[in-house]
Amino acid sequence: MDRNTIYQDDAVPSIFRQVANAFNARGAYMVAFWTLMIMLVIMIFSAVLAPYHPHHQHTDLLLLPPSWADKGTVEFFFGTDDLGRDILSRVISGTRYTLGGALLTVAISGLIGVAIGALAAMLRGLRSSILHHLLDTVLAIPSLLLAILVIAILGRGWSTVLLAVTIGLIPQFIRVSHQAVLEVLATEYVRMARLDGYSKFRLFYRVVLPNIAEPLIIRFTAAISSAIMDLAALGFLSLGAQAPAPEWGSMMASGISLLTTAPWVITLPGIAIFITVLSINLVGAGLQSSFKKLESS
Amino acid sequence: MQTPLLQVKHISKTYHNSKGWFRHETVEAIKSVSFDLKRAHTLAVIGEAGSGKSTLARILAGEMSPSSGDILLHGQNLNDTNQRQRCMDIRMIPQRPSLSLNPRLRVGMQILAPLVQHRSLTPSLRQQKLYATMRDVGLLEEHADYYPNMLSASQRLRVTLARAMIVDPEVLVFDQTLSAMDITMRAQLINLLTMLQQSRGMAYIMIGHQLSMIRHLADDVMVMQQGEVIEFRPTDEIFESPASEYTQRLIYAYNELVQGPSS
Repeated sequence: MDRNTIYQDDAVPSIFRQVANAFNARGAYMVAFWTLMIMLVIMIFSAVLAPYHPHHQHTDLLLLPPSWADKGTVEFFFGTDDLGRDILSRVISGTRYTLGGALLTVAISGLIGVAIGALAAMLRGLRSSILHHLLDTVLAIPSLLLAILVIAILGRGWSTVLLAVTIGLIPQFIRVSHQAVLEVLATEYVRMARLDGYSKFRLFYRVVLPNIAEPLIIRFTAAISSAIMDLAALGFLSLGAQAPAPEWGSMMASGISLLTTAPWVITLPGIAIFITVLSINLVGAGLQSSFKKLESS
Repeated sequence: MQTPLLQVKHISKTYHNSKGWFRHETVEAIKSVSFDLKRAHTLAVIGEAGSGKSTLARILAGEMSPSSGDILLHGQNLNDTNQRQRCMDIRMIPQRPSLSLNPRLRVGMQILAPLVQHRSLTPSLRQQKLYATMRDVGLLEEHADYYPNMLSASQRLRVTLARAMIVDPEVLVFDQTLSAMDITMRAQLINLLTMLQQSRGMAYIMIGHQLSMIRHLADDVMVMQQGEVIEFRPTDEIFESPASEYTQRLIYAYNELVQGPSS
Protein backbone atom coordinates (compact mmCIF):
# COMPACT_ATOMS: atom_id res chain seq x y z
CA MET A 1 0.00 0.00 0.00
CA ASP A 2 1.04 3.60 -0.15
CA ARG A 3 3.31 5.02 2.49
CA ASN A 4 0.61 7.23 3.92
CA THR A 5 -0.54 4.29 5.97
CA ILE A 6 2.87 4.01 7.61
CA TYR A 7 3.64 7.67 8.18
CA GLN A 8 0.49 9.31 9.32
CA ASP A 9 1.18 12.87 8.28
CA ASP A 10 3.81 13.30 5.68
CA ALA A 11 3.35 16.99 5.28
CA VAL A 12 1.13 19.57 6.88
CA PRO A 13 -1.45 20.50 4.24
CA SER A 14 -1.70 24.14 3.26
CA ILE A 15 -4.61 26.25 4.44
CA PHE A 16 -6.17 25.96 1.00
CA ARG A 17 -5.89 22.17 1.12
CA GLN A 18 -7.33 22.04 4.61
CA VAL A 19 -10.37 24.03 3.56
CA ALA A 20 -10.76 21.87 0.46
CA ASN A 21 -10.55 18.71 2.57
CA ALA A 22 -13.16 19.94 5.01
CA PHE A 23 -15.36 20.88 2.05
CA ASN A 24 -14.90 17.50 0.40
CA ALA A 25 -16.02 15.70 3.52
CA ARG A 26 -19.61 16.87 3.17
CA GLY A 27 -21.67 15.23 0.43
CA ALA A 28 -24.31 17.94 0.03
CA TYR A 29 -21.70 20.62 -0.55
CA MET A 30 -19.93 18.51 -3.12
CA VAL A 31 -23.19 17.89 -5.00
CA ALA A 32 -23.79 21.63 -5.06
CA PHE A 33 -20.22 22.27 -6.14
CA TRP A 34 -20.39 19.85 -9.06
CA THR A 35 -23.81 21.14 -10.08
CA LEU A 36 -22.24 24.54 -10.29
CA MET A 37 -19.28 23.18 -12.25
CA ILE A 38 -21.65 21.51 -14.74
CA MET A 39 -23.52 24.81 -15.04
CA LEU A 40 -20.26 26.54 -15.83
CA VAL A 41 -19.37 23.97 -18.46
CA ILE A 42 -22.83 24.37 -20.00
CA MET A 43 -22.34 28.12 -19.96
CA ILE A 44 -18.99 27.96 -21.71
CA PHE A 45 -20.12 25.49 -24.37
CA SER A 46 -23.71 26.69 -24.65
CA ALA A 47 -23.37 27.41 -28.38
CA VAL A 48 -22.38 23.79 -29.02
CA LEU A 49 -24.68 22.13 -26.49
CA ALA A 50 -27.93 23.86 -27.45
CA PRO A 51 -29.77 21.63 -29.96
CA TYR A 52 -31.33 24.56 -31.81
CA HIS A 53 -30.63 28.22 -32.17
CA PRO A 54 -32.38 29.92 -29.25
CA HIS A 55 -34.10 32.40 -31.55
CA HIS A 56 -35.19 29.90 -34.19
CA GLN A 57 -38.97 29.71 -34.40
CA HIS A 58 -40.48 26.33 -35.31
CA THR A 59 -43.73 27.84 -36.55
CA ASP A 60 -45.48 24.50 -36.92
CA LEU A 61 -44.71 23.40 -33.36
CA LEU A 62 -46.09 26.12 -31.08
CA LEU A 63 -46.43 25.38 -27.35
CA LEU A 64 -45.22 21.81 -27.59
CA PRO A 65 -45.22 20.29 -24.08
CA PRO A 66 -42.01 18.83 -22.60
CA SER A 67 -41.01 15.34 -23.63
CA TRP A 68 -42.26 13.66 -20.46
CA ALA A 69 -45.82 14.83 -21.18
CA ASP A 70 -48.07 12.69 -23.37
CA LYS A 71 -47.92 14.99 -26.38
CA GLY A 72 -44.26 15.87 -26.08
CA THR A 73 -41.45 14.72 -28.33
CA VAL A 74 -37.85 13.94 -27.55
CA GLU A 75 -36.67 16.37 -30.25
CA PHE A 76 -37.90 19.25 -28.08
CA PHE A 77 -36.94 17.99 -24.64
CA PHE A 78 -38.32 20.92 -22.64
CA GLY A 79 -41.03 21.69 -25.20
CA THR A 80 -41.47 24.95 -27.08
CA ASP A 81 -42.91 28.34 -26.25
CA ASP A 82 -45.63 30.35 -27.93
CA LEU A 83 -43.35 31.30 -30.81
CA GLY A 84 -42.16 27.74 -31.34
CA ARG A 85 -38.69 28.28 -29.86
CA ASP A 86 -37.05 25.29 -28.17
CA ILE A 87 -37.03 25.94 -24.41
CA LEU A 88 -34.08 23.64 -23.68
CA SER A 89 -31.94 25.63 -26.12
CA ARG A 90 -33.13 28.84 -24.57
CA VAL A 91 -32.41 27.69 -21.01
CA ILE A 92 -28.95 26.52 -22.08
CA SER A 93 -28.20 29.78 -23.87
CA GLY A 94 -29.68 31.66 -20.91
CA THR A 95 -26.81 30.49 -18.68
CA ARG A 96 -24.63 32.96 -20.54
CA TYR A 97 -26.94 35.81 -19.69
CA THR A 98 -27.97 35.05 -16.15
CA LEU A 99 -25.04 33.07 -14.72
CA GLY A 100 -22.39 34.64 -16.95
CA GLY A 101 -23.76 38.12 -16.34
CA ALA A 102 -23.75 37.50 -12.59
CA LEU A 103 -20.16 36.25 -12.62
CA LEU A 104 -19.05 39.23 -14.69
CA THR A 105 -20.78 41.81 -12.52
CA VAL A 106 -19.50 40.21 -9.31
CA ALA A 107 -15.94 40.03 -10.63
CA ILE A 108 -15.91 43.69 -11.61
CA SER A 109 -17.74 45.01 -8.58
CA GLY A 110 -15.64 42.77 -6.31
CA LEU A 111 -12.38 44.11 -7.69
CA ILE A 112 -13.50 47.71 -7.40
CA GLY A 113 -15.18 47.24 -4.03
CA VAL A 114 -12.34 45.38 -2.36
CA ALA A 115 -9.78 47.85 -3.67
CA ILE A 116 -11.74 50.83 -2.34
CA GLY A 117 -12.54 49.11 0.95
CA ALA A 118 -8.96 48.05 1.59
CA LEU A 119 -7.71 51.49 0.68
CA ALA A 120 -10.23 53.15 2.97
CA ALA A 121 -9.11 50.89 5.79
CA MET A 122 -5.41 51.54 5.20
CA LEU A 123 -5.92 55.29 5.02
CA ARG A 124 -6.52 57.36 8.09
CA GLY A 125 -8.42 60.47 8.97
CA LEU A 126 -10.64 62.50 6.69
CA ARG A 127 -10.11 60.58 3.46
CA SER A 128 -11.00 57.27 5.05
CA SER A 129 -13.94 58.83 6.83
CA ILE A 130 -15.36 60.30 3.62
CA LEU A 131 -15.08 57.01 1.75
CA HIS A 132 -16.53 55.10 4.64
CA HIS A 133 -19.52 57.25 5.49
CA LEU A 134 -20.43 57.97 1.89
CA LEU A 135 -20.61 54.28 1.19
CA ASP A 136 -22.47 53.52 4.37
CA THR A 137 -25.17 55.81 3.05
CA VAL A 138 -25.22 53.98 -0.27
CA LEU A 139 -25.40 50.66 1.53
CA ALA A 140 -28.66 51.70 3.14
CA ILE A 141 -30.33 51.36 -0.30
CA PRO A 142 -30.99 47.73 -1.31
CA SER A 143 -28.99 46.61 -4.31
CA LEU A 144 -32.05 45.92 -6.46
CA LEU A 145 -33.44 49.38 -5.78
CA LEU A 146 -30.08 50.91 -6.56
CA ALA A 147 -30.02 48.99 -9.83
CA ILE A 148 -33.52 50.21 -10.73
CA LEU A 149 -32.34 53.73 -9.95
CA VAL A 150 -29.45 53.38 -12.38
CA ILE A 151 -31.79 51.98 -15.04
CA ALA A 152 -34.17 54.88 -14.51
CA ILE A 153 -31.33 57.21 -15.38
CA LEU A 154 -29.63 55.26 -18.18
CA GLY A 155 -32.63 53.52 -19.72
CA ARG A 156 -33.33 49.81 -20.04
CA GLY A 157 -31.20 47.27 -21.86
CA TRP A 158 -28.85 44.42 -21.10
CA SER A 159 -25.63 46.42 -20.79
CA THR A 160 -27.36 49.00 -18.61
CA VAL A 161 -28.58 46.23 -16.33
CA LEU A 162 -25.09 44.78 -16.03
CA LEU A 163 -23.77 48.19 -15.11
CA ALA A 164 -26.64 48.76 -12.69
CA VAL A 165 -26.12 45.47 -10.89
CA THR A 166 -22.36 46.06 -10.73
CA ILE A 167 -22.90 49.43 -9.13
CA GLY A 168 -25.48 47.94 -6.79
CA LEU A 169 -23.04 45.30 -5.55
CA ILE A 170 -20.01 47.53 -4.97
CA PRO A 171 -21.06 48.97 -1.56
CA GLN A 172 -21.32 45.53 0.05
CA PHE A 173 -17.82 44.63 -1.05
CA ILE A 174 -16.46 47.89 0.24
CA ARG A 175 -18.18 47.35 3.55
CA VAL A 176 -16.94 43.79 4.03
CA SER A 177 -13.36 44.42 2.95
CA HIS A 178 -13.13 47.64 4.95
CA GLN A 179 -14.30 45.89 8.07
CA ALA A 180 -12.08 42.86 7.53
CA VAL A 181 -8.94 44.86 6.80
CA LEU A 182 -9.50 47.08 9.83
CA GLU A 183 -9.93 44.05 12.02
CA VAL A 184 -6.73 42.46 10.76
CA LEU A 185 -4.73 45.67 11.01
CA ALA A 186 -5.64 45.97 14.68
CA THR A 187 -4.21 42.56 15.55
CA GLU A 188 -1.01 41.85 17.37
CA TYR A 189 0.47 39.91 14.48
CA VAL A 190 0.31 42.91 12.19
CA ARG A 191 2.10 44.93 14.82
CA MET A 192 4.84 42.32 15.02
CA ALA A 193 5.00 42.03 11.26
CA ARG A 194 5.63 45.78 11.09
CA LEU A 195 8.51 45.35 13.52
CA ASP A 196 9.81 42.52 11.36
CA GLY A 197 10.24 45.11 8.66
CA TYR A 198 7.53 44.10 6.19
CA SER A 199 7.07 46.60 3.42
CA LYS A 200 3.57 47.95 2.93
CA PHE A 201 2.95 45.78 -0.10
CA ARG A 202 4.26 42.60 1.51
CA LEU A 203 2.28 43.32 4.62
CA PHE A 204 -0.87 43.50 2.55
CA TYR A 205 -0.18 40.44 0.52
CA ARG A 206 1.39 38.15 3.09
CA VAL A 207 -0.41 39.13 6.27
CA VAL A 208 -3.62 41.00 5.50
CA LEU A 209 -4.83 39.21 2.39
CA PRO A 210 -4.69 35.62 3.72
CA ASN A 211 -6.59 36.75 6.78
CA ILE A 212 -9.38 38.55 4.96
CA ALA A 213 -9.80 35.76 2.41
CA GLU A 214 -12.47 34.05 4.44
CA PRO A 215 -15.04 36.87 4.71
CA LEU A 216 -14.30 37.89 1.13
CA ILE A 217 -14.86 34.44 -0.36
CA ILE A 218 -18.11 34.09 1.52
CA ARG A 219 -19.17 37.56 0.40
CA PHE A 220 -18.33 36.68 -3.21
CA THR A 221 -20.52 33.58 -3.26
CA ALA A 222 -23.37 35.49 -1.63
CA ALA A 223 -22.92 38.27 -4.18
CA ILE A 224 -23.09 35.86 -7.13
CA SER A 225 -26.40 34.44 -5.99
CA SER A 226 -27.82 37.88 -5.28
CA ALA A 227 -26.59 39.09 -8.69
CA ILE A 228 -28.43 36.22 -10.37
CA MET A 229 -31.59 37.11 -8.50
CA ASP A 230 -31.21 40.79 -9.40
CA LEU A 231 -30.55 40.10 -13.07
CA ALA A 232 -33.48 37.71 -13.28
CA ALA A 233 -35.77 40.08 -11.37
CA LEU A 234 -34.87 42.98 -13.63
CA GLY A 235 -35.34 40.73 -16.64
CA PHE A 236 -38.72 39.69 -15.30
CA LEU A 237 -39.72 43.34 -14.97
CA SER A 238 -38.54 43.66 -18.60
CA LEU A 239 -36.03 46.27 -17.55
CA GLY A 240 -33.12 44.04 -18.47
CA ALA A 241 -32.40 41.81 -21.40
CA GLN A 242 -34.88 42.67 -24.17
CA ALA A 243 -37.40 40.38 -25.79
CA PRO A 244 -35.68 37.76 -27.92
CA ALA A 245 -32.69 37.35 -25.61
CA PRO A 246 -33.01 34.06 -23.67
CA GLU A 247 -32.40 35.57 -20.23
CA TRP A 248 -34.13 33.41 -17.61
CA GLY A 249 -36.02 36.25 -15.97
CA SER A 250 -37.36 37.65 -19.22
CA MET A 251 -38.24 34.13 -20.39
CA MET A 252 -40.40 33.78 -17.30
CA ALA A 253 -41.97 37.16 -17.93
CA SER A 254 -42.90 36.22 -21.49
CA GLY A 255 -44.47 33.01 -20.26
CA ILE A 256 -46.60 34.57 -17.55
CA SER A 257 -49.69 34.96 -19.75
CA LEU A 258 -49.49 31.26 -20.58
CA LEU A 259 -49.31 30.13 -16.97
CA THR A 260 -52.48 28.06 -17.10
CA THR A 261 -52.23 26.69 -20.64
CA ALA A 262 -48.46 26.11 -20.91
CA PRO A 263 -46.91 26.16 -17.39
CA TRP A 264 -43.62 24.70 -18.60
CA VAL A 265 -42.74 27.94 -20.37
CA ILE A 266 -42.47 29.72 -17.02
CA THR A 267 -41.51 26.89 -14.65
CA LEU A 268 -38.48 25.50 -16.48
CA PRO A 269 -36.42 28.73 -16.49
CA GLY A 270 -37.61 29.24 -12.91
CA ILE A 271 -36.24 25.85 -11.93
CA ALA A 272 -32.97 26.74 -13.64
CA ILE A 273 -32.70 29.90 -11.52
CA PHE A 274 -33.63 27.96 -8.40
CA ILE A 275 -31.02 25.25 -8.92
CA THR A 276 -28.29 27.72 -9.74
CA VAL A 277 -28.94 29.96 -6.75
CA LEU A 278 -29.37 27.00 -4.42
CA SER A 279 -26.11 25.40 -5.46
CA ILE A 280 -24.21 28.68 -5.16
CA ASN A 281 -25.62 29.30 -1.70
CA LEU A 282 -24.76 25.76 -0.65
CA VAL A 283 -21.21 26.16 -1.87
CA GLY A 284 -21.01 29.41 0.10
CA ALA A 285 -22.35 27.73 3.23
CA GLY A 286 -19.93 24.85 2.73
CA LEU A 287 -16.96 27.20 2.44
CA GLN A 288 -18.08 29.03 5.54
CA SER A 289 -18.32 25.88 7.62
CA SER A 290 -15.00 24.63 6.23
CA PHE A 291 -13.32 27.82 7.36
CA LYS A 292 -14.98 27.45 10.76
CA LYS A 293 -13.53 23.97 11.07
CA LEU A 294 -10.11 25.41 10.33
CA GLU A 295 -10.50 27.88 13.16
CA SER A 296 -11.46 25.30 15.75
CA SER A 297 -8.81 22.70 14.94
CA MET B 1 36.16 51.23 30.82
CA GLN B 2 34.43 49.29 28.12
CA THR B 3 31.36 50.99 26.60
CA PRO B 4 28.11 49.31 27.58
CA LEU B 5 26.14 47.51 24.90
CA LEU B 6 23.08 49.69 25.21
CA GLN B 7 23.00 53.21 26.58
CA VAL B 8 19.74 55.03 27.03
CA LYS B 9 20.20 58.73 27.65
CA HIS B 10 17.44 60.93 28.96
CA ILE B 11 14.67 59.64 26.76
CA SER B 12 11.21 60.97 27.30
CA LYS B 13 7.93 60.49 25.54
CA THR B 14 4.95 62.78 25.48
CA TYR B 15 1.62 61.70 24.06
CA HIS B 16 -0.77 64.17 22.54
CA ASN B 17 -4.23 62.80 22.87
CA SER B 18 -6.82 64.79 21.04
CA LYS B 19 -9.96 65.33 23.04
CA GLY B 20 -12.62 66.55 20.72
CA TRP B 21 -11.76 68.75 17.78
CA PHE B 22 -9.46 71.38 19.14
CA ARG B 23 -8.52 70.43 22.65
CA HIS B 24 -5.44 68.39 23.28
CA GLU B 25 -4.30 66.57 26.33
CA THR B 26 -0.61 65.97 26.81
CA VAL B 27 0.54 63.02 28.85
CA GLU B 28 4.14 62.60 29.80
CA ALA B 29 4.54 58.84 29.73
CA ILE B 30 8.28 58.84 30.32
CA LYS B 31 10.26 61.65 31.88
CA SER B 32 13.98 61.57 31.17
CA VAL B 33 14.86 57.92 31.69
CA SER B 34 18.51 56.85 31.43
CA PHE B 35 20.24 53.54 31.98
CA ASP B 36 23.07 51.36 30.70
CA LEU B 37 22.98 47.70 29.86
CA LYS B 38 26.01 45.44 29.48
CA ARG B 39 26.38 42.45 27.20
CA ALA B 40 24.77 39.24 28.47
CA HIS B 41 23.13 41.12 31.29
CA THR B 42 19.49 41.28 32.19
CA LEU B 43 17.60 44.34 33.28
CA ALA B 44 14.15 44.08 34.78
CA VAL B 45 11.78 47.01 34.63
CA ILE B 46 8.95 46.98 37.13
CA GLY B 47 6.31 49.51 38.01
CA GLU B 48 2.61 50.00 38.37
CA ALA B 49 0.20 50.22 35.48
CA GLY B 50 0.66 53.54 33.74
CA SER B 51 4.21 53.98 34.96
CA GLY B 52 5.50 54.13 31.41
CA LYS B 53 7.17 50.75 31.22
CA SER B 54 5.25 49.61 28.17
CA THR B 55 6.04 52.87 26.42
CA LEU B 56 9.68 52.30 27.21
CA ALA B 57 9.47 48.83 25.67
CA ARG B 58 7.91 50.15 22.51
CA ILE B 59 10.48 52.88 22.15
CA LEU B 60 13.32 50.43 22.62
CA ALA B 61 11.85 48.03 20.08
CA GLY B 62 11.62 50.82 17.56
CA GLU B 63 7.87 50.88 17.32
CA MET B 64 7.81 54.57 18.16
CA SER B 65 10.47 57.17 18.52
CA PRO B 66 11.11 59.06 21.75
CA SER B 67 10.13 62.71 21.99
CA SER B 68 13.64 63.51 23.09
CA GLY B 69 16.78 61.71 24.17
CA ASP B 70 19.12 59.20 22.57
CA ILE B 71 19.51 55.47 22.47
CA LEU B 72 23.05 54.26 21.82
CA LEU B 73 23.99 50.75 20.79
CA HIS B 74 27.75 50.03 20.87
CA GLY B 75 28.18 53.74 21.38
CA GLN B 76 26.38 54.52 18.14
CA ASN B 77 23.27 56.63 18.11
CA LEU B 78 20.31 54.57 16.96
CA ASN B 79 18.22 57.51 15.90
CA ASP B 80 20.61 58.18 13.04
CA THR B 81 20.93 54.70 11.65
CA ASN B 82 18.49 53.15 9.31
CA GLN B 83 15.19 52.27 10.89
CA ARG B 84 15.13 48.70 9.61
CA GLN B 85 18.55 47.80 10.90
CA ARG B 86 17.60 49.28 14.22
CA CYS B 87 14.55 47.02 14.50
CA MET B 88 16.84 44.06 13.92
CA ASP B 89 19.28 44.87 16.71
CA ILE B 90 16.70 45.23 19.42
CA ARG B 91 13.89 42.74 19.11
CA MET B 92 10.61 42.61 20.95
CA ILE B 93 8.93 39.51 22.35
CA PRO B 94 5.24 40.35 22.53
CA GLN B 95 2.98 40.04 25.51
CA ARG B 96 0.76 37.31 24.06
CA PRO B 97 2.73 35.06 21.71
CA SER B 98 -0.37 33.25 20.47
CA LEU B 99 -1.93 36.42 19.16
CA SER B 100 1.27 37.66 17.62
CA LEU B 101 1.49 34.90 15.02
CA ASN B 102 -0.26 35.15 11.69
CA PRO B 103 -2.76 32.26 11.73
CA ARG B 104 -2.66 31.86 7.95
CA LEU B 105 1.06 31.50 7.41
CA ARG B 106 3.34 28.56 8.12
CA VAL B 107 5.50 28.97 11.18
CA GLY B 108 8.75 28.62 9.25
CA MET B 109 7.82 31.46 6.93
CA GLN B 110 7.03 33.68 9.87
CA ILE B 111 10.31 32.98 11.60
CA LEU B 112 12.12 33.72 8.38
CA ALA B 113 10.19 36.91 7.68
CA PRO B 114 12.69 39.39 9.16
CA LEU B 115 15.54 37.63 7.39
CA VAL B 116 13.86 37.65 4.00
CA GLN B 117 13.25 41.37 4.27
CA HIS B 118 16.73 42.36 5.15
CA ARG B 119 19.44 40.10 4.01
CA SER B 120 20.25 38.65 0.66
CA LEU B 121 20.96 35.09 1.67
CA THR B 122 20.70 32.09 -0.58
CA PRO B 123 17.64 29.94 0.12
CA SER B 124 19.70 27.03 1.38
CA LEU B 125 21.61 29.19 3.84
CA ARG B 126 18.36 30.68 4.99
CA GLN B 127 16.98 27.20 5.54
CA GLN B 128 20.02 26.22 7.60
CA LYS B 129 19.69 29.35 9.67
CA LEU B 130 16.01 28.63 10.23
CA TYR B 131 16.65 25.10 11.43
CA ALA B 132 19.55 26.16 13.64
CA THR B 133 17.46 28.85 15.31
CA MET B 134 14.52 26.52 15.75
CA ARG B 135 16.75 23.93 17.38
CA ASP B 136 18.16 26.60 19.67
CA VAL B 137 14.76 27.47 21.04
CA GLY B 138 13.76 23.83 21.35
CA LEU B 139 11.58 23.33 18.31
CA LEU B 140 11.79 20.49 15.83
CA GLU B 141 12.53 21.02 12.16
CA GLU B 142 9.15 19.72 11.07
CA HIS B 143 7.45 22.43 13.08
CA ALA B 144 8.42 24.82 10.31
CA ASP B 145 5.59 23.48 8.18
CA TYR B 146 2.96 23.83 10.91
CA TYR B 147 0.41 26.56 11.23
CA PRO B 148 0.29 28.37 14.58
CA ASN B 149 -3.00 26.77 15.62
CA MET B 150 -1.36 23.34 15.56
CA LEU B 151 1.18 24.29 18.21
CA SER B 152 0.85 24.47 21.97
CA ALA B 153 1.12 27.74 23.85
CA SER B 154 4.70 27.14 24.89
CA GLN B 155 5.67 26.17 21.36
CA ARG B 156 4.15 29.40 20.09
CA LEU B 157 6.26 31.30 22.56
CA ARG B 158 9.30 29.49 21.23
CA VAL B 159 8.29 30.48 17.72
CA THR B 160 8.16 34.13 18.66
CA LEU B 161 11.54 33.74 20.31
CA ALA B 162 12.95 32.16 17.18
CA ARG B 163 11.46 34.92 15.05
CA ALA B 164 13.15 37.50 17.22
CA MET B 165 16.46 35.68 17.30
CA ILE B 166 16.90 34.76 13.68
CA VAL B 167 18.51 38.09 12.88
CA ASP B 168 21.01 37.71 15.74
CA PRO B 169 19.85 40.66 17.80
CA GLU B 170 21.89 42.20 20.57
CA VAL B 171 18.99 42.97 22.87
CA LEU B 172 15.68 41.24 23.47
CA VAL B 173 12.83 43.17 25.03
CA PHE B 174 10.17 41.09 26.77
CA ASP B 175 7.02 43.16 26.97
CA GLN B 176 5.29 41.46 29.91
CA THR B 177 5.68 38.21 28.05
CA LEU B 178 5.99 36.23 31.21
CA SER B 179 2.97 37.43 33.11
CA ALA B 180 0.49 35.40 31.09
CA MET B 181 2.31 32.13 31.48
CA ASP B 182 1.63 29.26 33.80
CA ILE B 183 4.23 28.02 36.23
CA THR B 184 5.64 25.11 34.24
CA MET B 185 6.05 27.20 31.14
CA ARG B 186 7.78 29.88 33.15
CA ALA B 187 10.23 27.36 34.50
CA GLN B 188 10.97 26.06 31.01
CA LEU B 189 11.40 29.56 29.77
CA ILE B 190 13.81 30.57 32.51
CA ASN B 191 16.06 27.67 31.63
CA LEU B 192 15.84 28.38 27.92
CA LEU B 193 16.56 32.07 28.34
CA THR B 194 19.56 31.55 30.63
CA MET B 195 20.98 29.04 28.17
CA LEU B 196 20.51 31.35 25.20
CA GLN B 197 22.02 34.25 27.05
CA GLN B 198 25.11 32.25 27.85
CA SER B 199 25.55 30.92 24.33
CA ARG B 200 24.75 34.08 22.42
CA GLY B 201 25.58 36.88 24.83
CA MET B 202 22.31 38.67 24.31
CA ALA B 203 21.12 41.27 26.76
CA TYR B 204 17.54 41.06 28.02
CA ILE B 205 15.18 43.75 29.13
CA MET B 206 12.22 42.29 30.97
CA ILE B 207 9.18 44.41 31.47
CA GLY B 208 6.63 43.24 34.01
CA HIS B 209 6.34 42.32 37.61
CA GLN B 210 6.91 38.62 37.94
CA LEU B 211 9.20 39.04 40.90
CA SER B 212 10.06 35.37 41.17
CA MET B 213 11.33 35.36 37.60
CA ILE B 214 13.12 38.63 38.02
CA ARG B 215 14.93 37.27 41.03
CA HIS B 216 16.17 34.34 38.94
CA LEU B 217 17.07 36.16 35.79
CA ALA B 218 17.71 39.83 36.34
CA ASP B 219 21.04 41.37 37.21
CA ASP B 220 19.59 44.81 37.81
CA VAL B 221 16.14 46.07 38.57
CA MET B 222 14.74 49.40 37.53
CA VAL B 223 11.61 50.60 39.30
CA MET B 224 9.45 53.14 37.51
CA GLN B 225 6.67 55.28 38.81
CA GLN B 226 4.75 57.85 36.79
CA GLY B 227 7.33 57.91 34.05
CA GLU B 228 10.32 58.34 36.29
CA VAL B 229 12.95 55.96 37.53
CA ILE B 230 12.67 55.84 41.29
CA GLU B 231 15.15 53.07 41.88
CA PHE B 232 17.87 51.40 39.84
CA ARG B 233 20.00 48.87 41.66
CA PRO B 234 21.29 45.29 41.49
CA THR B 235 18.61 42.66 42.07
CA ASP B 236 19.94 41.39 45.39
CA GLU B 237 20.03 44.85 46.92
CA ILE B 238 16.51 45.62 45.79
CA PHE B 239 15.22 42.43 47.30
CA GLU B 240 17.11 42.93 50.56
CA SER B 241 16.62 46.61 51.16
CA PRO B 242 14.04 48.25 48.96
CA ALA B 243 14.34 52.01 49.23
CA SER B 244 11.20 53.56 47.80
CA GLU B 245 7.79 53.04 49.31
CA TYR B 246 6.37 51.36 46.21
CA THR B 247 9.19 48.84 46.04
CA GLN B 248 8.92 48.13 49.74
CA ARG B 249 5.27 47.26 49.35
CA LEU B 250 5.97 45.10 46.34
CA ILE B 251 8.80 43.18 47.99
CA TYR B 252 6.83 42.80 51.18
CA ALA B 253 3.93 41.30 49.28
CA TYR B 254 6.27 39.01 47.41
CA ASN B 255 7.99 37.78 50.56
CA GLU B 256 4.67 37.17 52.20
CA LEU B 257 3.64 35.11 49.21
CA VAL B 258 6.82 33.08 49.15
CA GLN B 259 7.50 32.58 52.84
CA GLY B 260 4.03 32.89 54.26
CA PRO B 261 2.82 35.71 56.55
CA SER B 262 5.65 36.96 58.74
CA SER B 263 3.62 37.62 61.85
